[in-house]
Amino acid sequence: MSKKIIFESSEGESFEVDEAVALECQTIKNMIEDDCTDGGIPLANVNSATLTKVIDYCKKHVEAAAAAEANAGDKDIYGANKDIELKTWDEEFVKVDQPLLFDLMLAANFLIIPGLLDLTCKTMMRGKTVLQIREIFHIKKDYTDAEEAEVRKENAWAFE
Amino acid sequence: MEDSQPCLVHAGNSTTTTIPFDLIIEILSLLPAKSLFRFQSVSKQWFSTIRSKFFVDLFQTRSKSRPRLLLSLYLRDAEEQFIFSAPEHTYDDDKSSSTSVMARYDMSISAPGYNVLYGAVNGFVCFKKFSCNTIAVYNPTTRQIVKLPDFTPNGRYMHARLGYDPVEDQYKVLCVKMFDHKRQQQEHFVCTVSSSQKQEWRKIENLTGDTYGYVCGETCIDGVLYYGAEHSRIVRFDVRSEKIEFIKIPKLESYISHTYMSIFINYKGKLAGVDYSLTKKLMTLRVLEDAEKQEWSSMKCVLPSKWEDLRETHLMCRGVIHTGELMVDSGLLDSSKPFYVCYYDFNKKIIRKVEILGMKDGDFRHIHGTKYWIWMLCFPGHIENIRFL
Repeated sequence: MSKKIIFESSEGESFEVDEAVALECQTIKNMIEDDCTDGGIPLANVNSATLTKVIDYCKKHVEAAAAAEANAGDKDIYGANKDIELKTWDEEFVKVDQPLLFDLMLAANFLIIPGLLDLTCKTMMRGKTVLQIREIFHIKKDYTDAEEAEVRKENAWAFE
Repeated sequence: MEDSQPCLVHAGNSTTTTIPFDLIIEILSLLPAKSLFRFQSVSKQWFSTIRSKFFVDLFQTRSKSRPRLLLSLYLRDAEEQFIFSAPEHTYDDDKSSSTSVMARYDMSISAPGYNVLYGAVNGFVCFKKFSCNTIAVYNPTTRQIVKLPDFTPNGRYMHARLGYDPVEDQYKVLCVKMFDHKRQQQEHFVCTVSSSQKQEWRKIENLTGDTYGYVCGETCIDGVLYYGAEHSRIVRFDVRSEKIEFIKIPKLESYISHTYMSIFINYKGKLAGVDYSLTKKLMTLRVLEDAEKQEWSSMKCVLPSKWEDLRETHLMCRGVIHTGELMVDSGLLDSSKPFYVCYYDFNKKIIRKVEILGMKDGDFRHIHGTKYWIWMLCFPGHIENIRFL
């Protein structure tokens, strides 16, 4: 039987996962290597809803990697593994509301899951206007109208 | 970056979290260049972050892992020239191995008429207008155009080459003013490319005493600009010290009939040259293995028949893509046919064709109504660089 790792969410809920799944997180990997995972890993800044999603993501990617290894012969000559299914799964995975997407991104950043970080960041920024960006990140406009118009004018082609 | 304030955000179940500025930088570095120019309008902090040297370098590092093909199209009937770019290669959802990539329109060349490409380094491209001596450096990613001061060759022919010095982080254009062929003399001038500082042509001395009648090809590797001098030597110009040296070219076999096509490329970090014999269907790649001892290795390949639907008479090798394959194209775009480039792996002896879509078949064609041949230059290894000079 594979070794289990226990995560504890910010609400104090416990999540038991296979070590292989936990290893998808660089931060946890370092902890496992340093042998300091006994008694569970408290994740004070990751809530249960987010943690459930993160574990789903890691599980899926561990399974996909194992499947890809088994079908190594299917890779094309340039080593690309055209895993359409996984890509589609990823796309579905991030079809969540904005706050959860944000939490997932923060969790991916904290736990260091490069694939998930890339996926959530790109999804969050895709097709967003300047106004929407300010809203998402709670950024106060510090340009005067004239200044903003000037910056926009300079980069007019990027708004086409 | 030290004075940056973390942003307060509401996340999840209305718990307030701070988003570290490092994460904002991470997010920004994943965005395409166009989004970055749009998001400079978000706030002053975002503007200064995107323009900072740290971020520009980070973006360039990321870009290097996804190099593109640089495409320059000249529409003879409209006398207009455009810059496009496309991924070198794609691991697309496409199941078949005969891949295609989608080209993206980047910018048009400001000078009307045909412009000769005089080098491409780190995303910057140097063009000289064919009919006069206007030289400009373009960055298709930022769309910045830096015009160089007018150069007056007094009726002499001139060549220009773009080089990059990684130590001083400077881009320089070397200009060679030719005298008549018989006297075989020339003068060399250098101009540092900058829009913020005064640009001027500085004359530099060629201390070797060696001269040449004409030049061909060019490539810039690790701060050294190389170009061919009369097919017998290579000029080695150190971009930082601005010193000129000569390297001998190995004696060519007599079968080479199209030596004017010889070009120089960066083959896995080393200077290399490619020659073709179209009659014998042979292509030779020579690599400068040891610059000190001037030792060259050579590899030959039989031109595969798959290339025959490229227009052979214009067959050109323009360099190597990130997989180590040699890229060959035909230099012309026929508006009635698909445009292909070929990638050839010298070690595995495998060739593949990649179709480049989105140029004559996109909206572009409707706008310009191209009916004729389009002169086409295609270079691999183009990277997106958001730096302003």
